[in-house]
Amino acid sequence: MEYAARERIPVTPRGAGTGLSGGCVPAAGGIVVSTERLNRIIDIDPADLIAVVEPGVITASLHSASEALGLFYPPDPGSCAFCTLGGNIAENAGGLRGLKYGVTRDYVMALDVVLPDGRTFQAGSRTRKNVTGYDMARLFTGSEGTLGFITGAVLKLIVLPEAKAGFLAAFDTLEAASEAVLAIIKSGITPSTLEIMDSVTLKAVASFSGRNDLDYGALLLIEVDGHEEDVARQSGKLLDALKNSGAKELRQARDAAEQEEIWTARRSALTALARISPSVILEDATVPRKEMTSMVRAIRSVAGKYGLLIGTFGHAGDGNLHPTIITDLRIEENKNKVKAAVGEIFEAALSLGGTLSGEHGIGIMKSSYMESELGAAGVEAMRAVKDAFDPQGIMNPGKIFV
Amino acid sequence: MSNLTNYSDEIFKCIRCGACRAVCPTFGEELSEISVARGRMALIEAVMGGELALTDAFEKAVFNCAMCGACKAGCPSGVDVPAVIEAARAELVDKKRSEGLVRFLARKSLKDKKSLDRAFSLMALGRAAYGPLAATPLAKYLPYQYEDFRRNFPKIPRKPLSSRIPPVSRIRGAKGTVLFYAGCVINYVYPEIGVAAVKVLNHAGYDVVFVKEELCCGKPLLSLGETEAFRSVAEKNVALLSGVEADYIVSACPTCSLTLKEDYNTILPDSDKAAALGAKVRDINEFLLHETDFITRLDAAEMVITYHDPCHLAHGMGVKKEPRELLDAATLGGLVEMNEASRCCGFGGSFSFLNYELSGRIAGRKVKNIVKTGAPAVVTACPGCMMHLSDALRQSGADVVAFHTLQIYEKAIKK
Ligand SMILES: Cc1cc2nc3c(=O)[nH]c(=O)nc-3n(C[C@H](O)[C@H](O)[C@H](O)COP(=O)(O)OP(=O)(O)OC[C@H]3O[C@@H](n4cnc5c(N)ncnc54)[C@H](O)[C@@H]3O)c2cc1C
Ligand code: SF4
Ligand code: SF4
Repeated sequence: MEYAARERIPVTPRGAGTGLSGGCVPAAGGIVVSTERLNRIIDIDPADLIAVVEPGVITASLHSASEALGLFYPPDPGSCAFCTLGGNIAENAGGLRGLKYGVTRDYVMALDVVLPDGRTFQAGSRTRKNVTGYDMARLFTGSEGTLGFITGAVLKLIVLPEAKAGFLAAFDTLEAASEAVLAIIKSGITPSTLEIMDSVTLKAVASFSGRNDLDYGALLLIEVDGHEEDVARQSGKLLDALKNSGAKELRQARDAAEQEEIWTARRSALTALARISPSVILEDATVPRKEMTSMVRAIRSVAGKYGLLIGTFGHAGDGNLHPTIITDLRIEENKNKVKAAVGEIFEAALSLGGTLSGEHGIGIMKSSYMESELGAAGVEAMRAVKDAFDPQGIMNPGKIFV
Repeated sequence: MSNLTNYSDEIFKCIRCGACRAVCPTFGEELSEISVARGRMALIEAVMGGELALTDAFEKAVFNCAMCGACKAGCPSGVDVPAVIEAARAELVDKKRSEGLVRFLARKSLKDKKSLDRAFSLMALGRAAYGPLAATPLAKYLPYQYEDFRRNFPKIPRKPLSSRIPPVSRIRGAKGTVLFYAGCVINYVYPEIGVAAVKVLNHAGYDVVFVKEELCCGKPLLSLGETEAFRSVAEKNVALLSGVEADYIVSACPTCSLTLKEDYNTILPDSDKAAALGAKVRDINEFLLHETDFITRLDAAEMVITYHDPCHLAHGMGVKKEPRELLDAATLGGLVEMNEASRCCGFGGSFSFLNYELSGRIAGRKVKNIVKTGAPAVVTACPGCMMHLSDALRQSGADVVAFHTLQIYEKAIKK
């Protein structure tokens, strides 16, 4: 970094390159620094309940290493088998367990940071409590590599829940499923996972995996976890809530294999959609939970207006939907349609009090929409932070800001 | 095959998600984007778009793929990575005239039965002399310098399978006839597996036909980008095997099965015979479980084993549970799963000859997973994997023996 600063060469950090907003693309050329080989888990401490890691560790390796010790690192982006913890921190990645357990941010305790001028410091500490000045670890979390380079992290772990139960509930319409989500939350339980899939996605999954049991308007996939008795209690409440909100079919996984079967349907969502046509555009607009029904309607009307195939699935419990546009971008006309449709989806999300991006970040893909969410003053304030850390503008230039 | 431009749609399907990084064995060792499906697709796309020349570095990226197909099996877009890589290799052969000893030998020896027999009997002699010579200062004058001298080749027996079993092995009251296709490794290196196959198939109620004149399936040629040589082998084999009356064509080498089943169709798209042949092909485990009641005819004995999935069987043909079910029955529940059972062992046919060092590192990871189970035996359904695993296990000093599934089944039918 010292060298780059002296020579004013742009530097782009890169984890596994699985980001969905173009964050690791060296937009202004320069040096790409990969964390591929910084891949050691240095320590897992069951007394302090922390993991000390290098940034290139694959997220799933931390999952298995901590679970082997009865500990739990909850953030689980769909890409956890191949993305890095550094990338997760830089994007503040979410995942399927966000509703109950939060996102990456909630597990970052300290970060080793290399500043754009080459100096280093540790933001945060190994302690749960720390109010020594500003919360710099949080600032670097989600900074998309634009403030500095993360070379190490102390992550919070929790105790692995002892039991879990999985459910599948089918509905006639996506709206009905969205309403059921609210009913579940109001019933006083917090499922660890609460995922939704619409009929376009279900049809794709059905034809992809040759299943004929997915012919519904929408599906909710739910998991509750905790102590054995607690899981039973939650399951009862959940089943009541689902019945009362008009679930057409209800299934509870009887064993691990059935649980696995339920999740395979969700995990193959993107796969199944991607097989329909060569290009997939996965969006990430997020709205307050209460507005999900309106958001679903808005997405549908955008799809109708531009004649695009849009499959919607996502983390319903968080209001974090992934409208996925299936098209062929080699056809020029489709490019324009997609651009217009994405713009309208963002507009709808913002008008419902939501945000451009729930978990994928701004990168180069959404920078032009920043002002519509933050206003000029908001963007300027963020820019001031950026300039304070990186006055030369060499740290991952071209990202977040236009 | 060949003609890379035919594959532009296939390459365009790659959405660059990176899921292949989790399963690609070469990436697992190299940790570099040029050693994973995504990077390879990007490089090939760059070559097609004229942004990149056919450089040596490109050639290396394309040739150090193990062709295991794990990426394809797990790819959200279903990109047929091995097919694209085969096409890129053919392009290199075509345009760059890449040549090397392995390629030269493959082209010369796999083309017809006589050359094949000669090649393997030379190898048998060579194998006997190689070890002692490699230990002397003369080692550096030996051919085959691609090889690491540590490699343990199995002894190549004087008598191949074709002189050990009759053309037809009949039983009383047979339910039908299968054509057993041995393939080179079983025919020349492990004929005992072929002998076991015939016994097992008979025991399962089928007459077995064996065509002594069968040629190599040709996969090594295809992998090396030798499209024309492959086409010629495919034509000869199709003519030869189609002439036999049999209900099924069964093989105990998944690479051969996959080649007969799919690649012959692709290279001979207009041949009805190739299509009919492909439709009859089964892996022997798949055949035994689904088409016969073999599993109920076992005289099983306790034995602790672990199972390694051959890539072409698990990723290529989706056959994973069949050998497990049979093995568990044959060992009275003795099957213990290893970690990453379906991760490549590093063999990859010509891959291990061209990249022995890398292939050895991949095998090292496999050995660790095998040893961790504590099982004294690792069973697999592919003679190539068996050969590579035996080598790696020996080098590691692990006290574990590699078997083919058929050797376990054979034990379980001996009264
Ligand atoms: C199939 C699929 C499913 C996904 N599912 C989810 C999901 O459920 N939830 C979710 O949130 N995301 C998801 N993602 C998006 C993506 O996986 C995450 O954003 C992930 O955190 C990116 O990690 P990476 O290692 O690939 O980082 P990269 O893509 O390599 O980099 C991402 C950003 O982080 C920066 N960066 C990387 N390492 C460092 C470092 N050490 N220091 C500073 N900056 C750094 C880069 O400059 C870049 O801006 C998914 C992606 C795919 C392909
Ligand atoms: S998994 Fe498939 S689509 Fe994804 S990067 Fe690899 S080859 Fe491309
Ligand atoms: S075929 Fe195997 S080695 Fe080759 S790119 Fe795919 S996963 Fe990697």
